[in-house]
Amino acid sequence: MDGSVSGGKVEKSAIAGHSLLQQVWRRFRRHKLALGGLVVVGLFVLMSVFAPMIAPYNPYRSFTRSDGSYASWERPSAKHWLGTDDVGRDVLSRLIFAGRVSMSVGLVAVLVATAIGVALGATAGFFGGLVDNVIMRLTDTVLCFPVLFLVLIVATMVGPSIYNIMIIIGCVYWTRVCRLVRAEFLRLREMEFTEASRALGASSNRIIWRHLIPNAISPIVVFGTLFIAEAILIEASLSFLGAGVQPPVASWGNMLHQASSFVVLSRRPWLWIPPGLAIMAVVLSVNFIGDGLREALDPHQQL
Amino acid sequence: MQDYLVRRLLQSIPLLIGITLISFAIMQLAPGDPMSTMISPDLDMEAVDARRAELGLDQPIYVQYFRWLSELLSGNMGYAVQSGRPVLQMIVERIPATLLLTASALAFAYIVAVPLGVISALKQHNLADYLLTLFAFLGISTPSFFAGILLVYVFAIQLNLLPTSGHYSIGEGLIGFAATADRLRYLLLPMLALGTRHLAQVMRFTRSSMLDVLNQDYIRTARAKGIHERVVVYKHALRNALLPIVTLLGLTLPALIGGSFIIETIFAWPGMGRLGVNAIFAREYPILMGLNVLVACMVLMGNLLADVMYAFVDPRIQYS
Amino acid sequence: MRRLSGSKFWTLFIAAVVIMVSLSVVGCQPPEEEVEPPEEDPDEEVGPTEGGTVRIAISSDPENLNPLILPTGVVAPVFECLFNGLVRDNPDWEWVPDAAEDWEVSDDGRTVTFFLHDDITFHDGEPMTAHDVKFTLQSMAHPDYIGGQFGYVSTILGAEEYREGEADDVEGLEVIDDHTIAITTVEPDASIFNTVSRGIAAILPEHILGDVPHEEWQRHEFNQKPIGTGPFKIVEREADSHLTLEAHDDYFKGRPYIDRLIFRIGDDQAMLGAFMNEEVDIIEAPAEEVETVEDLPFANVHVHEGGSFNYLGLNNLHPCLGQPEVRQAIATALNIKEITATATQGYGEPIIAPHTPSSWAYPADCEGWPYDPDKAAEMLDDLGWEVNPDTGIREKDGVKMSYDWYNVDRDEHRRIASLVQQNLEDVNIELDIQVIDFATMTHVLLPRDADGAGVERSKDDFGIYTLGLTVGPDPQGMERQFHSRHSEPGGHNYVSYSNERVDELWGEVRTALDLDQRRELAQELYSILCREVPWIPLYATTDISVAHDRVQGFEPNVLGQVWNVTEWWVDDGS
Repeated sequence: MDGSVSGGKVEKSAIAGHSLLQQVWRRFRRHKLALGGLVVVGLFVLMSVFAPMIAPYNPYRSFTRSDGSYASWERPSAKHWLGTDDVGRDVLSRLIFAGRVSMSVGLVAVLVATAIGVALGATAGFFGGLVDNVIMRLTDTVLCFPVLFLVLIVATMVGPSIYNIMIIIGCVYWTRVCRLVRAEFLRLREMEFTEASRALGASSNRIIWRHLIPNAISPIVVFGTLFIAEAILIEASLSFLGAGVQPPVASWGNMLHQASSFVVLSRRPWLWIPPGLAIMAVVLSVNFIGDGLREALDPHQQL
Repeated sequence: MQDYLVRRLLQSIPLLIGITLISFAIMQLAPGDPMSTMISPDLDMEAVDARRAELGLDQPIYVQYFRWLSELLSGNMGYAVQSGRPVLQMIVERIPATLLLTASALAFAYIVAVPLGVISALKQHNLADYLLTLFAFLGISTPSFFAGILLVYVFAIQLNLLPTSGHYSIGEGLIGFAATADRLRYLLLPMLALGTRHLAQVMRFTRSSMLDVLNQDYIRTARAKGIHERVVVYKHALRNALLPIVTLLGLTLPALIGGSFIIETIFAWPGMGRLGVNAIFAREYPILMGLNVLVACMVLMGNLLADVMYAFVDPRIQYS
Repeated sequence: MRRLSGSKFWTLFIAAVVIMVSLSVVGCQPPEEEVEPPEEDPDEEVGPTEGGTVRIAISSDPENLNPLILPTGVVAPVFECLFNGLVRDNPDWEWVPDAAEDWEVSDDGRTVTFFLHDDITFHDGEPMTAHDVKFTLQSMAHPDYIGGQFGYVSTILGAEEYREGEADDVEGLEVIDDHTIAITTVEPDASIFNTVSRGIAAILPEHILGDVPHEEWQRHEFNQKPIGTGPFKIVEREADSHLTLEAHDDYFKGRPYIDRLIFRIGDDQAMLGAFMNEEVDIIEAPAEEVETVEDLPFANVHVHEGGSFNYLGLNNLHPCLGQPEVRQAIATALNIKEITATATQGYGEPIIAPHTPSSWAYPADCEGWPYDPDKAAEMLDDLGWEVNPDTGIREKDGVKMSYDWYNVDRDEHRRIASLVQQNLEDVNIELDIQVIDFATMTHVLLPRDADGAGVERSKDDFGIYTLGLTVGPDPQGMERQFHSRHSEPGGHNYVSYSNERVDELWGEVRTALDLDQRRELAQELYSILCREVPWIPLYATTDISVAHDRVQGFEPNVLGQVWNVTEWWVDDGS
């Protein structure tokens, strides 16, 4: 209930880390939806990693018809399982390659957000006082802005390349991790094992890295997981407003964006149903995993 | 209590300064200034440069910031680069539309989500819980622009039940009840599109908050004492479970306003969101800065209000 | 949404249409036949009836409706309803009477005397006179005027002096009586008709703006609900929602049939949805949506010339683009016919010179560079650009044949980008596609330093860019794009093209007054451009306007949708 339990638990885990992971896995496994989510995400990850081998065609290459015209908007067929898009490229191949883009946008954005958030949150929580005050005011300030708008402004201005988008999303969405880590640190700082280390003359650095971060890791992991889903959705929203990953590079977001054209929505479902399903499947699965992790890592919240 | 209020207000001052700094700094990232969208082969560059000088765009950045800030403090957000209209006026005339949309989406989300979340918690691991959970997760994982497009397509174009876009029947001259009903018809779809995602989040939050409380010792005690289940749930548990939901408001508000940028575009809703999106592509810095400041201040006030409400309803908070 | 920036783009297009309409000498005289005033035709089965409302979709809010101040949003169709010029253009690109009933050109060609209708009134009931015309033109030359359109009146005698504050009046603007005004230019200048057309100098009321100092023009409330002489007057507006116009009962060419015109403001897709649901009557549809609207029982689809074209601009300073032969090889590698068909859904017309094919200036005898990838590869090989087997990219003297290629974020341009990239890949040229919005594009094309001053162009600014351009029938407007003088900092010769003969020809075209002579000069000019390919022209655009069948008399063309708005009427009969 009051942190000393988890504090003691992790201390123990330093001796037998293996068994802790096993414990977590055992609890995680009980969460059927989370397990299912893990399988789905695993499949998508495999698909992305091996995209060049799986994809039937080059995703950037247009097909031509016998009369020399580009084979745009062909219906699904044996040759093109998911048909072709507006300039005659194979939709299935693009979908597979788009997975790489969308999922790495999610992952990298989370890494950036977490790195910034942990660094600032840890600093604030550990040192307290003025440092804490300044950092927390900054966090509060950023939290006042509609972040999607900020991301949109910055993405439009610096140019919406994949890398820019990953970094911008990360740079704008670090606030929640920061608050989380700080709260966790404030709690842990007062804990006996921290006091003990300090009494034994451990440096701040050592205390942070050896004791505080490992103990604060579980909420960070849960948050990070859930945020991957969020970041994928943010990229899709940016695509809708014209500031997402730009074609010819395919992302699930810019593929789904095609559905905002009525003719595509009503007559060319092969263009938007697959990316729509892919987004929902991954986002849903990641959410389930996040939920499972929360329950597995936070046993006193056993519901 | 009064001290607490004063302290909270004082705490907002650095935030306000931070808001103006961030709003201003972001605009410095861009290559090209707003005059660049106006360059066509037919305009004298001389005139463009004159406008640039008039707007102070040729000054050093910090000079521009303090100029802008001092104007801001006197209630002047500057003038739109292209149309020359006062930014404050442009924003203010669009606030009612955005406020109506976000407020109704917020109300919709909370009014529907809280009862559903409670049901979900009480019927934990029942069919109802699973269905609601599934619905919530679907809501969370659908991009809102996509939800908006589907809503328009199904309910307006296919079923012809509701209008596709706009905020009332222009030129019909409706008055009284008919006018209100007409506006409601236009409001329904954008409200659903904007609110559904939040509905799902609030529902999940309510559920876990409720479950948290139901596992607390005092609830167990109350149950053990043989207090009627209904009284336990509604008198003791629900009240305490609702408290943290108030804090969720602070997070929902900026997200809702962010979402309105997309929803307003889809539904041609004449609010701040569309103004903002247009301003981005037109590099209308005065409008963007004004919008950022105004929206952030609105959120700040919303949070302040939530905090005060929270302090008011939660006896555990000490004001000292 | 992608269309937002698109709409910005189109705004500029439309503004450019209005502005860039250069005139031909033919236009110097009023055509023999008067345009028929909109009168009921007794022979028709169902004649036009008065009354009703028409709702037109526009994609962005024209915040500012003063034609002399830098226009914003979609303004052209609204201006068309609110204002008149002395002359206007007709679908054949001739100047026809508007507020002026007739005009006379002096023998030396320097003075044009315009005779005004004598019963024109502003929306507020005040009569419009030659004084208002003079006021409008003189305002554009005022020392404090910041609307950026001084260039148009600069050829009028005494305008420069007035601008510099050396004169109290523009000498060349002479009000002879209330209904007659004589305009004298420094030299014979055919472009004066363009200047006094409603696209440039829409006549403004002196009795309202006469006392307003120029510093206040930009922010004057007049810009919100202007008073003009046009067939409709603005009665109500709501930001980003709509503008409501009502018929001007005393319109000098006769009251329009319809009572009310509502401009609904919304994103293209939103307005398409609104049209499908019968919430608006007239929209402009993207080409791919034609099949969506064709199925609607109430929709009339009008396909018409768009008056603009798309092209690839090649940075002539770039080490692998400076040679005309290389540019020719690149042009040969592009399958422009199929790119056009795919990018425009079959609604574009491939072109070989940077102009619209309907213009008299379009070169008839140039073949262009027919698609032949093998020949293109051979041409490049012969020029010493050989494929490096390690990278698969052509190289010469250690320089890689690789370009930064800038595109604006419109669907059509994205399609072009993807196909052109593949075409060039086939001949081992590498393209790095950058998709940017229009504002960033202008920064790429018009490089500036931190203080906003134009800087020298360089090979590193860009390799290739894709853009559209709106043109009139006369090539004069293109001078800024191809004259070497305009490659200086801040000039509009973005690709830094330079050819002495071309520079000379621009001068000759400007002073030539005979149409045949102009045609000959222009054709020579365009033949050179076609041969040297400083730009690779892609295709001329087609617009698709869709109207509800309750709107009668709707005939969109290259002038846009509302050019004949006074002849529209509403048939809600059945």
